[in-house]
Amino acid sequence: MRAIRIHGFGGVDTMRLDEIPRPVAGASEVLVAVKAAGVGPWDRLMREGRISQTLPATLGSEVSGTVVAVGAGVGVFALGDAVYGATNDQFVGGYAEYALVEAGKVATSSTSRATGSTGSRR
Amino acid sequence: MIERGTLNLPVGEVLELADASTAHRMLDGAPHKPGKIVLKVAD
Repeated sequence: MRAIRIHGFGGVDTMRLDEIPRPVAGASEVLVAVKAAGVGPWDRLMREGRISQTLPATLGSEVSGTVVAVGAGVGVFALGDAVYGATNDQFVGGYAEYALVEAGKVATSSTSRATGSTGSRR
Repeated sequence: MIERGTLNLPVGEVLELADASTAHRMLDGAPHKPGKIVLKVAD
């Protein structure tokens, strides 16, 4: 999948469009097919290295999209749910075609329950 | 505000994922339309 990652800390030139493996949802996580990713000041702080982070790192702290995989122990979301929210405690991973998010950090959108064709996407 | 439906978050710029660096230049002060900056990843 395509993802915007930083390979060092600093200016905009640290950002690259990379092809990386699609992440796998672990316990308490859902995998979201990202429709849109918000760009905010937090992402800039991340890019500049003001927040501790392992490199390379996929930027992006907030997403909206569709749940395409559900990790163990997640009972509140189903495949195809339209969700939005923050990504995780590290606030990374959102600038990508698929984002791993902590189930507790997203909510279903008011236009919830996307069609089955989206839900079965792989 | 969310429950009343009165929260309004205007979107100023919508850019492709590949143009994320342009979005960050806007964060850094480059001119952009007022409102939220969003990367459109999929249709």
